[in-house]
Amino acid sequence: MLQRFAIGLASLCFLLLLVGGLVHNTNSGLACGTDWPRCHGTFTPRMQGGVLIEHGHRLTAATVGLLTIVLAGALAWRERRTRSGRGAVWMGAGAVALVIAQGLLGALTVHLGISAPVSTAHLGVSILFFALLVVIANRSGGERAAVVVAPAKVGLVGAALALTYVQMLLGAAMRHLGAGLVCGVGLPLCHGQLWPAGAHVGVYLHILHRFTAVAVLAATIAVAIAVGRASHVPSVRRLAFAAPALATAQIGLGVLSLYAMSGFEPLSHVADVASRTAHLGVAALIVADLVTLLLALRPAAVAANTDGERAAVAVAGRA
Amino acid sequence: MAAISDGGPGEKIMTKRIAVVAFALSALALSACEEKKQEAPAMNNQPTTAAPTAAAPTAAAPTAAAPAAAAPAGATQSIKGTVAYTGAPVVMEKINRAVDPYCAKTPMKEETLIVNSNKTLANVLVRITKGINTALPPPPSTAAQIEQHECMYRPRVQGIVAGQPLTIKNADGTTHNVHTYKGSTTLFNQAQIAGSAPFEKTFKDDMAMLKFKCDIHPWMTGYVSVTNHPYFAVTGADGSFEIKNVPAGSYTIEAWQEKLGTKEMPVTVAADKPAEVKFSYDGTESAK
Repeated sequence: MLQRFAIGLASLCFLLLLVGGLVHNTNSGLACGTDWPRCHGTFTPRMQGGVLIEHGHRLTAATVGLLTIVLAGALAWRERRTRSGRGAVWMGAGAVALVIAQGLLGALTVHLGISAPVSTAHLGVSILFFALLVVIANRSGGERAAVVVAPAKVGLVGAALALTYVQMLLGAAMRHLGAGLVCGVGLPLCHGQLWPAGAHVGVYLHILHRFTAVAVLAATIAVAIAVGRASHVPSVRRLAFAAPALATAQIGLGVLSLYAMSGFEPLSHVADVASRTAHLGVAALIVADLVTLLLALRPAAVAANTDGERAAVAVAGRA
Repeated sequence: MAAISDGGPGEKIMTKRIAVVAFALSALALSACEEKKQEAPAMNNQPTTAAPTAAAPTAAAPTAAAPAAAAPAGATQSIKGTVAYTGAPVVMEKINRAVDPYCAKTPMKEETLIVNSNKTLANVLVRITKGINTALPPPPSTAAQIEQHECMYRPRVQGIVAGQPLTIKNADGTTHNVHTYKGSTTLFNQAQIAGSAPFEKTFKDDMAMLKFKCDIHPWMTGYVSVTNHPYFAVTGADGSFEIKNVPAGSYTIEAWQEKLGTKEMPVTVAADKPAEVKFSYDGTESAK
């Protein structure tokens, strides 16, 4: 029951991420003016156009916030009842802290008129919060059998996850600085240059975002080979192989976004908004995939046999 | 003049001569009046920098503040003026265009506030906003044009009439995209690769200020004012403007500068002479 609630909340958070992306991609961030948390002086404004998107985002965020408090309370209540360890309690408290921070950053975003550093931090905290909900959703069903693998493989998945997070921050910073198209539509170079001298910082963020996309793809391919191919556990294989598939789709969406943002026909404004919002969504899915994969692995205490792995015995029963 | 006599032959000849002279004098006087009439229409119909050629309105506009002399039907005049700048000296920074080698080869400076050497402002759009009571001419069929040239929108500021076509052209050897906004709403977003054909748009709005951007070259900005009338002009390198063919009457006129915002003042156009308007910005104003 608790796990189903946590999975539902993580899914709602994913939806919230998409709506947040929609806010930026439709320039609706200031549709409610600088009024916060109300919108044009009321909590029930006329929901149309940019107000529908921005205030809809706030209402969804408020719902996620309240449900996070409920989740944290449920985790604490369960710990008192089962004495299963305070880890879940701390995770619940951490989720509440992150969602409060996220709300405050949202308010700051509005009051500062969509400042790039604050907006980037808003995205950064949202992904940390989402990742934590994925962890809680995985763990709230009790400890599961983990696949013991070589520590280096766990490190590889962790590195791919960290790289994906950095890539999301780069993308957010680039977009909030208005640098989404500064390198034109030519690929892979920036107006024919690898690293133009003396350009605006947004240009370098854009170039780094392109480079890091390739690095994420390479890292996820390495995960698929090192973890997926070597594993006999179906769920681990699915998670490991999904990572490069999602990373490839993500690069495709990035290229599509370039052409849609530039207004190349027949790509319409709808295609522009849709591709950029999907780009954020797939990035979040990569994070969820790698977090779940990481939780399914356990580094071996001894050097692992590179030809296979041993399954660990379940540590604790379900709640 | 010879006295009237009894009508002998000499007298007849004199009378004839007097009649001829009188006729010649009359003809001279009449031709002089005709010349004056022809000069006046030519002066009123000459197009301004931004206003398109338009037929003079046919109906006079009776207003509360009528000039002393009764305005003849269809009388039009000009609104002339300047936009002065009394603020602190302005230094326009060089634009960082290093990202695109094509654009980087031509250095450019910021153009958000251009102060002329005579302490006036260039690129200020001046337009009538209230008081037009006469029938409006149809929009010009001749297209206006906005061009991407040396990675800048040219002209940076212009006015067009609602319904008048606007041709959008990429004269550069690099790809641009024409992203046009009305407020924060995207009106259209279209890529224009180097060498592609110009495309045309028509706008129906009144009193709209459209902003043209290029997302690939973020420094590129252009403004197009759309009004349902032809009474607007843009200041040039001497800070002056002239709105021609304005029917006699009382109006509200507005100056718009992209960084400093708008200023309004009333103006009355008499039938017999141009109206004079002087705007002034001190640099502390803000468009936001």
